[in-house]
Amino acid sequence: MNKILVVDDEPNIRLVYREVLSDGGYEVLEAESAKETFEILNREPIDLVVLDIKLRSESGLDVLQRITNEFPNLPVVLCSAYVSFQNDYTSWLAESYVVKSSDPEELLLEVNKVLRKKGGH
Amino acid sequence: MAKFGDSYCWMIKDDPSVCPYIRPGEEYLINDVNKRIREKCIECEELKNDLKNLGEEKGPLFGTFSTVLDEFRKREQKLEKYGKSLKVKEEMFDTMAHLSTSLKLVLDLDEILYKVLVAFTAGSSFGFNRAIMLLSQKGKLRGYFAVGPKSPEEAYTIWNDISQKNLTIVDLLIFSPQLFQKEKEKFKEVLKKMEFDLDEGIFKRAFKTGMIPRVTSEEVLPDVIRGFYQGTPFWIVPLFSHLKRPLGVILLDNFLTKREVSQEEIKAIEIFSTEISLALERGLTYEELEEKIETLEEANVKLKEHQELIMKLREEASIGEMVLQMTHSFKNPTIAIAGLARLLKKKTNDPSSVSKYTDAILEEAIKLEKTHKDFINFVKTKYTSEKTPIDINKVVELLYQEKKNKEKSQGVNFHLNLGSNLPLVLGNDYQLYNCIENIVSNSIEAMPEGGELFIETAEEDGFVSVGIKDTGPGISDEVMKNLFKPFFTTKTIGSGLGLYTAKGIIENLGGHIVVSCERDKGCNVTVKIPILSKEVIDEQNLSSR
Repeated sequence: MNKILVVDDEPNIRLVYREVLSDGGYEVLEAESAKETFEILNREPIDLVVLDIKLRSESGLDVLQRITNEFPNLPVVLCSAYVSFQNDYTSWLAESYVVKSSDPEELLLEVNKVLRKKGGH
Repeated sequence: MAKFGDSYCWMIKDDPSVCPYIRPGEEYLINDVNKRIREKCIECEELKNDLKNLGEEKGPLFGTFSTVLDEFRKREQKLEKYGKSLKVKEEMFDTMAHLSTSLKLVLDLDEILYKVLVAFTAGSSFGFNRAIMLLSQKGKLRGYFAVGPKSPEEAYTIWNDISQKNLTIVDLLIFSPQLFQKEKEKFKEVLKKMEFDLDEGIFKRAFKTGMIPRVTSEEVLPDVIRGFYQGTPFWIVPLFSHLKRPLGVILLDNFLTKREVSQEEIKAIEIFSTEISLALERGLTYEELEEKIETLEEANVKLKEHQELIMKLREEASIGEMVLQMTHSFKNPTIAIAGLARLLKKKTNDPSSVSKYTDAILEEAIKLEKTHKDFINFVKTKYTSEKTPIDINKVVELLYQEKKNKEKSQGVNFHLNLGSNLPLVLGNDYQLYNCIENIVSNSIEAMPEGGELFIETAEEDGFVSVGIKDTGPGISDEVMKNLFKPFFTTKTIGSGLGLYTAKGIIENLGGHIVVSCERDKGCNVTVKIPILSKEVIDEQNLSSR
């Protein structure tokens, strides 16, 4: 079973993502900060990270940059409330980019797509 | 022949026919021979000739008389000349002394130039017919001001006026901007044309030697100068700064009287030009200073406008930022609510999930409500400002009643201590309530495990203070630094506008918020609002009547 790490500072968003991704057949871990994220990443193998672009006191983009440096093969799906972040070149480091919407199934589809692509290689 | 029989005209009494030089009113000289000799004959060629003839006829004694008379006349002429020269010098000294005194207190460039040129042209002293001032500006000598008549007719009118009104140098040196403008206007055309290089031959010579050259039409002259003086000689007085920098020149001439100028006069002008230079330099410096002040004042006005614009832009930017933040604040809860609702719909056959989902939905809805409230407060703070005298105790008490029971269930105990007879403050009660509520809410949220909350009001140093003290864990220096910045929040539920708005409200009233925290002992926030003075209350009563 693929392991997915959801990084978001909003507990209820994490809840929604956890439920949707669990139902989709994934094992879900949660982190609410950069610190927690890297604790988990260094502790156990993770197949994909779902990362919120705006964490409370830190930028999700900084976290993304660190992940791509330290875990170059780990795909990251970036989530944001804003479309505008897509213009920031740092966001291009992510495997995929999802604009948060009221239908969390979109995230599931994106995660499936990314992991399928990864499995294919 | 002045011989009448055996006698001479200068010896005969009582005969009016012997002397044709006695004028009406001098009839007493007909009888008084001695007086007549002193007043008339001594200058008369008849006497000189008679004495000469007598010398030839009667021996050398009479010849001596003739020689003595000759010498006497020469000496008298000399004396007269010295007397005149002395008078001129006295007058010059007088003019110089007056001008010197008069210039001492003057800073205005126009007034200095006016006085200097008038002194040079005042008839009783130097008495030049015209004087022109050229000032050195950016490597050029430019015509600035001139005084004097333009024609003989005008000269006659001026000089007549001065003598009739018995005007002295003191009267003439009295300056008025109107007089200055009138003179300046008169020579406007020629002044405009007068623009020369500093190293133009005649001026270069004057600046190099520091002397006052007499310039004639035989020299190489700029066309404007040649045309203006039309053969009349003129004098150039060079003026220097204390660092020997050329300040300008004064051109002097006597185009009507054709009077020549003595070496003594030139020397006097030379000495005097030092004092004029000093005054001129002072005037120029003052003018430069005034210009600089004006420039600075203009710059200041622009700076203020710019600052206001920046403030406005900042405010707009903060509104823009706020709108962006609002989008985020609204979007996250909305997404969570919608996501949870979908899950709820999908899983209604699984009752264990239901309460988990509904709790989360409620929590998100509260977030939206809270953000909405903060937004309303922010807008109200920004866009309403009606102030009234307020009893702060009433505001605090209302808040206390509202919070007391609600928060008790959360484990927070309220302690209220209201100062008695507190003076009023000027403010908006809605804003003040929200401001204090915000701080109280923060304190309560700082104690999730419960604790004690103290609210007290007091009067101190011209302020009414509201102290809010909690027994929470305190805050870090990092948080403290950002406490009042917009959109700063450590809370899951919070827009980051609450304390920022509170600070804005209090500062707008001329007050301030003081925060002190101690690790593990809690925070103490004091809101200080200036006391409404009695004068302001009276004034308001008056104006509202």
